[in-house]
Amino acid sequence: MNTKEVLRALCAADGNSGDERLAANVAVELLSAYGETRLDRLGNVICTVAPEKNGRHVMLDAHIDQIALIVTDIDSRGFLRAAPCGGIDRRSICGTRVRVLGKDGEYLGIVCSVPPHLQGDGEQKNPKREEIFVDIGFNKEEAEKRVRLGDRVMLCGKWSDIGDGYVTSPALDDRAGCATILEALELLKGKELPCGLTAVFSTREETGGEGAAAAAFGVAPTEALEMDVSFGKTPDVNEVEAKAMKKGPMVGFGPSLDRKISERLVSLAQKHEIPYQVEVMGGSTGTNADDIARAGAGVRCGMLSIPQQYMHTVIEKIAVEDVKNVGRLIAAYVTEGGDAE
Amino acid sequence: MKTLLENIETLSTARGTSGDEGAVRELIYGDVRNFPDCEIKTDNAGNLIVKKLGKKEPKSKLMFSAHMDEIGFIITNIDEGGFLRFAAVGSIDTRVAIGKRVLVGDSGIPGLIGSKAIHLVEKDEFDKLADLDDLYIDIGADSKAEAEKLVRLGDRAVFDSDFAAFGDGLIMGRALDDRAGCALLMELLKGEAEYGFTVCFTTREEIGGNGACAAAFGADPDIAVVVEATTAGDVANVPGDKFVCEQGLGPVVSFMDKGTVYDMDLYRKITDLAAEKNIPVQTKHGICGSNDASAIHKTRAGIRPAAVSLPARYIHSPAASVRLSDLENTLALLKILSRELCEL
Repeated sequence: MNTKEVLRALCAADGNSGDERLAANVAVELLSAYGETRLDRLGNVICTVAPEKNGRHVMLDAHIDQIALIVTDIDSRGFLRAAPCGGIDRRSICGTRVRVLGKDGEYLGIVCSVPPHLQGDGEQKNPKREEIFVDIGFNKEEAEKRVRLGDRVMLCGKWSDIGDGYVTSPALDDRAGCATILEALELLKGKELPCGLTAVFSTREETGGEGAAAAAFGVAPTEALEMDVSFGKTPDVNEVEAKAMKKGPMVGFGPSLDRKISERLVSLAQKHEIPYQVEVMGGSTGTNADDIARAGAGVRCGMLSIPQQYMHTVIEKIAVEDVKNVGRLIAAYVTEGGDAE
Repeated sequence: MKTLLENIETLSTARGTSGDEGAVRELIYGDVRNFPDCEIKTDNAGNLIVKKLGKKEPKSKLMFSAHMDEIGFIITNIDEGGFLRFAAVGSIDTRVAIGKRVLVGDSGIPGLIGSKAIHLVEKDEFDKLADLDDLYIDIGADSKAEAEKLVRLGDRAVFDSDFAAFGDGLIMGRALDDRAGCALLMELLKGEAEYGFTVCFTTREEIGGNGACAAAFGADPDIAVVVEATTAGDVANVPGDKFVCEQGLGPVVSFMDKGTVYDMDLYRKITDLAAEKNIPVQTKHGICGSNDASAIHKTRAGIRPAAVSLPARYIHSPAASVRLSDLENTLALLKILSRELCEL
């Protein structure tokens, strides 16, 4: 499979935070080609590529969960009240087509929108978190036969090419990160590695990073690289907030990251002529890197981000070449990493 | 000859925003031209006018209309980064536009209605509705020049949304407002008619009924029945007194909306006929919405207006929903009206 096919396979499986089973199955299949692959107690998919060597053990992490809604109530007319399970964009949720992963199958539905004429001019508002309802076209009795509280409601989108070299899908955050790791593992396949290497596709990032924290404790690496999506430039944000599409990995610098690893990533990008951009974060990264860094007795972390537009909507968009370049830089770090120049 | 549901599905996937209804018109023409006793023409406003010949001359000349156009977007500018700026064609709720897929231009290039990532939105912006002017369509072009190779100013875009059946006898799809109405009127044209009548598939309803105005002038009827999809407010988080109308209670027969005060004798006649034939009907509990009747009833020396609408949820969004039982009851009522109103 080429990079795009891997991405597509990863995006095709559902996996909301805490319910990543289907996506994890696909991940196990893909990762097994590179080492013994298992699930841990929190559902993290862990692939041991090579045991610790020369006092180094690198953990590569990307999260496998995606945002969705979770059914919290069925009202008297059969509408499902659904809470965000992950950071749903309330501005874009109305009128979204959804699939409810019910008891014995999937049920198609629409996220309700109160008709505009029922809200006066100037009074129209985006729904509050507790005002999100799903219409699956069944009355209460019939709905209760099909849907249980706690069932997940996936936001429908389409996988497709868009423009020259871009793809769009609702699950790119962070299946794109998973794809960069698979890209790197493919580049490293058959090579003698100078260090131990474990790949982790972690659960529950969108609800707090519990998966990665547990995985990092279990794997106990000496260092880790976190791969997630970050903000791609759009007309309504500036160059400080967001970085360009197709201009390569965003190498993270910030207080929760290890400066030497960040600098090493930059020098490797320069050496291998991999395009890169520097992303500086003032506080925490808002990613699994924060959780991994404080796992066990602490893990030194680096961060490589894939520029992504329209994060947390069903039209998330990335450039396939950015995924490839992140993969190349990961592979370079694994084979030539460590702090020594 | 396609079935009602096949026609709804086919028509709901055609792209035809106001003033650009050609693809829809071709689809309707392609099926209707096989029907018996139909004289078909397209007028200068783009309306498709079908004269159904009957066995008898009607006492009152009757016209039915449903509009072919749908809401959507029109490309107004292409910025330096290759992002398309747009205006709404018809009324669009920005809450349902952000983060949706669209199809741009005649070839249906995939596009994304973008906005900055949620994480970069300031807290006080969350509750406010975005301004449509602040949104843009991303077709994956990296520059203005690249975008200009694919899109021209004035090109249209519509939501990219597939037709589907769901729930307990419901369908969802783009442009069911008013392609479902078009498909119902196609059904009326299928068999033999007792009285002759005219069916107008109209243009430009969503921008004010300019098409219907011309169609009605041409058809010159005594009575016009507008067949529409109207907002059913019976969704979650709306109190019962604001439903206006509800799915599953049959066609909505209007006495007044924001564009028209309907002919009261006709309104009563239609509801009486429905009661007589055991067809459930409802009316609007509130003065809401508007349709082609507004333009039609003031055409020529006046035309007696009536409206029969499908109660539809989520109109003017990527997918509206319609209940099959409402479709069946609306069709049954329209068949009766095509005969009885000619005798008035």
